[in-house]
Amino acid sequence: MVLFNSCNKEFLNAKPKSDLIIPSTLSDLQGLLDDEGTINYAPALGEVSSDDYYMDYESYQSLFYNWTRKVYVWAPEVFGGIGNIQDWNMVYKEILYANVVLEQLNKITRTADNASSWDNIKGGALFIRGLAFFNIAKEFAPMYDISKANSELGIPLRLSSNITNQSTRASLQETYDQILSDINQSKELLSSSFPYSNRNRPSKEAAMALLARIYLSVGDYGNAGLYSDSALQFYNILLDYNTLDTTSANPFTIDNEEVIYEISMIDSGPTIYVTFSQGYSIDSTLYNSYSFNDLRRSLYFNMNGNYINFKGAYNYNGLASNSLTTDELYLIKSECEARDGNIITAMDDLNDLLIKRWKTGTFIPYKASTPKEALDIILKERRKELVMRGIRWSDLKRLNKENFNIVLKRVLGNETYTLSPNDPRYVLPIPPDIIELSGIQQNER
Amino acid sequence: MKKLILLIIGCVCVAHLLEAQQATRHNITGTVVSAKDGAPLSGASILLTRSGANDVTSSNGSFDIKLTTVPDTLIVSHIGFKIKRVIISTTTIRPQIIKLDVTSTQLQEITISTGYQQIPKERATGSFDLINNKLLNRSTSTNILDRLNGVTSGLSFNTSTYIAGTANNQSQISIRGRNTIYANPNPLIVVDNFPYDGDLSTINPNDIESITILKDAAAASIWGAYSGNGVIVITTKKGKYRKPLTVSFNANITVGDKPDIFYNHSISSKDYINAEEFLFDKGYYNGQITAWNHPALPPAVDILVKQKNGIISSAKAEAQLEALGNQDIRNDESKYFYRKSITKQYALNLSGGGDNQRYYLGIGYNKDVSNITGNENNRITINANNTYSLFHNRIELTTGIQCSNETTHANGMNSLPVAYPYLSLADSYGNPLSVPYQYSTAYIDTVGEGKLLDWHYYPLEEIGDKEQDNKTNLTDYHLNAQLKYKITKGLSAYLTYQYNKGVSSQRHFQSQEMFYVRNLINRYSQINYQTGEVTRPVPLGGILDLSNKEYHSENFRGQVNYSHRWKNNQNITALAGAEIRNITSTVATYREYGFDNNLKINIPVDFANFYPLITGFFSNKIPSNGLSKVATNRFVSYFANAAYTYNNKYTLSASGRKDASNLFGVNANKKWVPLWSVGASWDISEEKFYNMNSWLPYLRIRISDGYNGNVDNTLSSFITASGSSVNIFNTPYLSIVNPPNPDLQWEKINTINFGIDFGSSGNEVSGSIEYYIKNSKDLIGTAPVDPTSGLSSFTGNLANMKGNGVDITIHAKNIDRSFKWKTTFLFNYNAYKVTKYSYDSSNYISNLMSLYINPIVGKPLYAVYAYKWAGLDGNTGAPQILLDGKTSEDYSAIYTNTNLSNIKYFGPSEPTIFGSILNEFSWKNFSMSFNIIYKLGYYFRKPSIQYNDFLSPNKIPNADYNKRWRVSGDEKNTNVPSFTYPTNSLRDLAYSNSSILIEKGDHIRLQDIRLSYQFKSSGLLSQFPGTQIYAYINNIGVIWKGSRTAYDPDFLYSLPAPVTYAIGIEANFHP
Repeated sequence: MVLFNSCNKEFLNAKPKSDLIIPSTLSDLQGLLDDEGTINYAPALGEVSSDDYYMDYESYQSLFYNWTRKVYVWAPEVFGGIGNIQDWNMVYKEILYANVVLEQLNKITRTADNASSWDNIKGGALFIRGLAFFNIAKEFAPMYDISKANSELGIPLRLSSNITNQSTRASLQETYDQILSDINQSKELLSSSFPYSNRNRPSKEAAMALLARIYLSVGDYGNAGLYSDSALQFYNILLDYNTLDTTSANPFTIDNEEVIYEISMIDSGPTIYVTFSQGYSIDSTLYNSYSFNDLRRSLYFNMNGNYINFKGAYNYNGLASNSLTTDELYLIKSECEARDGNIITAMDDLNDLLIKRWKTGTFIPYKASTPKEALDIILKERRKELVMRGIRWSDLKRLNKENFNIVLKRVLGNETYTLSPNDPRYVLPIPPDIIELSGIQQNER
Repeated sequence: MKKLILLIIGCVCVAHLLEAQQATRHNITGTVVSAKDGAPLSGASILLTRSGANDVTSSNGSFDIKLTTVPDTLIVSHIGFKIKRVIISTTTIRPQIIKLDVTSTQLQEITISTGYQQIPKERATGSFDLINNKLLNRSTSTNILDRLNGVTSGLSFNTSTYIAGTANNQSQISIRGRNTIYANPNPLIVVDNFPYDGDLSTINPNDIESITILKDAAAASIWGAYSGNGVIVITTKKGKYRKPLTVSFNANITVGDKPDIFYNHSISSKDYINAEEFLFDKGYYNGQITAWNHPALPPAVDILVKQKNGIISSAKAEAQLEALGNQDIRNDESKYFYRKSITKQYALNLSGGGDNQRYYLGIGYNKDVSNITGNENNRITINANNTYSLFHNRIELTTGIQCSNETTHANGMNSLPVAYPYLSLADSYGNPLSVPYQYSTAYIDTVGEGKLLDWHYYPLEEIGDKEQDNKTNLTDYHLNAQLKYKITKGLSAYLTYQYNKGVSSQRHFQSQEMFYVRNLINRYSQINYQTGEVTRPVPLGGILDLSNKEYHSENFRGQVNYSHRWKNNQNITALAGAEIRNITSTVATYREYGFDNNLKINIPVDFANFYPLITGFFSNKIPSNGLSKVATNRFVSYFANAAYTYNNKYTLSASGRKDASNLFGVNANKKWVPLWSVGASWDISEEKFYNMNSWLPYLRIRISDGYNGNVDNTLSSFITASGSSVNIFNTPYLSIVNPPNPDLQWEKINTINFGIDFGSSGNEVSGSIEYYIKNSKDLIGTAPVDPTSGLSSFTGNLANMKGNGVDITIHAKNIDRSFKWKTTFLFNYNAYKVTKYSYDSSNYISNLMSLYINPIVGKPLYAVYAYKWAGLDGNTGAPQILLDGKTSEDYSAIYTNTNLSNIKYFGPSEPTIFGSILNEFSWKNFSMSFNIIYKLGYYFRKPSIQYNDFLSPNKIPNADYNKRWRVSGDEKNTNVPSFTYPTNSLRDLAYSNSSILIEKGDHIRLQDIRLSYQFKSSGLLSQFPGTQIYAYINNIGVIWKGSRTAYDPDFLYSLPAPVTYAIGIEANFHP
């Protein structure tokens, strides 16, 4: 029996399942960060609420979920008690992954041999967490405003994987401090070799591109310009749309070289339906603003009866794209230059991009005489280039803060719904199961 | 390590053997047999009155006792037999053969098996139930578990809550109700000595001698951490010593009716078209009609589109719709998908034994032609065992082999993937028709300009084995060996080893004619319209899917049994031992494309890159279906148990067991769990003061208390992740499976059992009554957590449950003359509730309406709750619910604001009272028996119309559509809400989860009837004793139910089991 007992320890240490592990090596942790189906997703309800597209009354009525209808018309109360809203749950799952990786990483000694991958994994986890916090804040918190950020509510900042920790809403200031701290750290840690064949992985370029996106969204044009410029110093490949097949149903493929960091938008219904269904259409004024020589007219859109369907997702999987891309960086840089009064540089940046978008030999470069004129051109082109890319909602928030006075309107049957600038309904309500289980404060709408 | 143990034990045995040889000189040896048939009697007590030496006969009836004084008197006793005295007057005596006569009031000796030992039921303190061979053979089912239905006390078949493949974690059968929430709910199944690791379908019921059900802690705790749900011990047939060769033959054929497909209360074709017209007018289909991905349209909508576009006239459209309205898909489904089932079963057994050897050989063959056209199953089983008794019974060596080979063809279809009720599968000549599936007909008729494969879906081409074969071959071996060594009188050592291996290999070939294959080839095809060239990343030819599942297990046990009887009528039996088990299972799947089934060659494809799909929309990789996994389960256990009987009246028993397994990432100290039980029994009828001997000669009471365990080996203390695939960038990745759970421990179930066994004079009425109380602690539960944590639920030891119940078994001989009438009455009551749940889920009322588990403190797990119905709105026909005393139509408030106080709890959704009444009649050579099964004390939710079902092409709405509210006033005659658009799933839920649809599940069913004729074994048939022919009808039907609906409460979500008719012959032959 004694003999029997002594052998037990070894006998009972066998692994019950070959595919089950306790993530404890650097390659395990990299494996978690490579779970693209979990990590590389961004919320979509902002895009559902935006004005790049519309749906007709029949389609509106035929939506499966009542809450999707309510999001579409900016109803004060949205979810009707229904929980398990992926825009929240999935993004916080990314944060859990990041926290698990950071915690497990602390148990692995950083040595001279493993330093570069150790740093790259830590940087990757921080990048993912910072991006996820930013994506949640974009939808469920007001736009950052330094004058009120200490008094306004931000989002829950989960910094540990312990699921029993109570969630509380940080202030908006704390929220953005955390976002920037995560991404700034990641920028220093991430490897400087670009992951050409794994565009789901964060990179130094991605961290800079993300900083540019974040600073722009809060109206910090100085920093946005700075980071878009630095990112482009490292990576500035643009596709020449003349090389793409305008007749193709999906002209952009998985190896799209403009993608610096791949992000898909969570399946929300309308953002998918607008790619193939009648009853859903891109805003026709927007569509008509593309010149016939503008290749985007045929690469992005597909006429389906009287409806303009969207086929220009910078993506591979049928979902809408929110990827960090070079065209976005050109537009951020151009806008920031214009706002800084550098009209010529601003126009050069824009023209560098657009020449790749028009049929060869047809594009007449833009010129502007005043910063205001330049900005107007750039913003118009920004919307045309980044249509259905999950950018519009934060642009609307930002521009309306600057008195652009964009009023959104939906007409459905006999009803007309409007969303006026700076309306509290620009902040989505937190899903009811979150309120119930955590007791955090709901947004006022 | 194992080898070393074997070696040590081997040496000990040899040493004892040498010693034993010398000690046999002054001993009396012999055999005790029954005077009636010469069968050896095991467990008979042997006592020399003067010297006090004693022994108990072994399984072959032999004994060996030391003779010290002459003369002496040998007293031989055995329950159910008259005591015999043999005077021993000389030291030189030959081996004795002692024949015992059966007592007139025979209390039949019942031996139960725990998998570790055989004990007479009369000495057991725990709760056991034995199903003997005769009862098992009433039914002709080819599956051993099915044969237990309606004949086993405390065993319930969970037909109302078991839904295969769903998350509601219900087991098909349970013993004495439910003891767990999310952990394994299945009883442990033991065959002979060890848990059965194979598929139960590989066991031939004709090889089974008996089945013992271990119900309480004292009975089951010897199985420790795996016994929480009770244990079913299956004992296979063995030969007997000193029995001439007997050949038995059993053959039967069972024919089953076609399933009644019209039982599903689905909407009529006319009503369905009516609803489609309504939705069409509202523009619901607009998006689909023109959608860029060309989804399949319902045929009626196709007609409406053509009419709208002026392609056909209104009159023609009307006529076409009229024609569709007269079709019912169920006629075709019944005709083409179903048929009568035929099961043929043959079994041949040979058994016998000499003085030192006994053997059994069983061969079985089944052929089962399923009632689903295209599905069939063949099984061959061989079961052989052999026992040698050596060195004057000092050593007994048993070896056995069981093998089975089963081939299953699954080429049938039982429902269409599209559910429009007016489809038809064949034209009037029987030629297969296509049905709209995945893509619209207009699209697939034009896409690819004729360069693609036919893209229509013909259901009738998909069934049968013409163009496909989905064949699974399951081979299972069990090899076992047991060495018993009698160390000294009363002390024996056992070494038992079993090796099992099962291989299930599935080969699913689909030719290019199958829709799945054509669809995949077409979707990936790329056409150059200038050159007309077609590129096919998925090549032409068939697809072959191979899957190989394999397990092998090794079990090794060392055990010592001790028994001793003192002169003053004290008796002790004890055992102790240890065992280890290792079960390894692997699964691997593989797919080949472009497969030529004749040449067996395939064409390699590129699984790594994305290809654009011709249907547009997006790019995809070619599905590879490759997979390979290994699972290892290891167990180490120590166990001991002892029973002490004084004066044949008082018995005390105790049992303990410690288990460990390779639970992943659990701290070593938590891997071990100790479990124990104690029990006592008192035979009151043996007492001097007992004065009811005249009418109740047998009365015994029992009490036991102890713990069983249960384990969930999917959980871990540490964070775990799993990886089996690559991401879209072809890089392997890991996903988080479990959050860390450092406090994880095994579930524990405490059972206190009280029992009374009784037998009236002449055994006219006998039986037992038992009452038990169960307390289950540290049950694994799931609680929703704030999804902000990254997970939406947490699983851990969160819950306690408490239950109690009654099991009553009564056997009555109502008439016992030349005409005999016997009744067996089984009554079971079981009620349990959750007593603690660390998370209060009572705010999530919406979940309570689901079929799933709802752990609410104070309520059973499976329960029926409902919104309080307040009738239909007289103006709109909208469903109304009573919410906080007020009538409400605010469906999102109803969905979210209801709590336990404003909904109604009806009761459990599983029977709380169940049992059966088996009546058996016999007269001369004829016997007839029938079994009535009853289930009482539970509720079910009647299915009704959900308007959202019209929006899902794979759901058929309920026929209640026909009874819906249409105009004011209808609310007086109907409770079915009006049809509105847009449909509102919360409005649907308010109605379908309301109290108006709750029904009582109580029902009584005539389960089966059996008739048999036993031939006289005289004359020509004298060599064929016990030959009989029989007929058996099963699943006869409900004879009473508590609800007035057309639903059979056992079959709410599936078609009722069809009636089956069997005839057969059973013959024995003594060559």
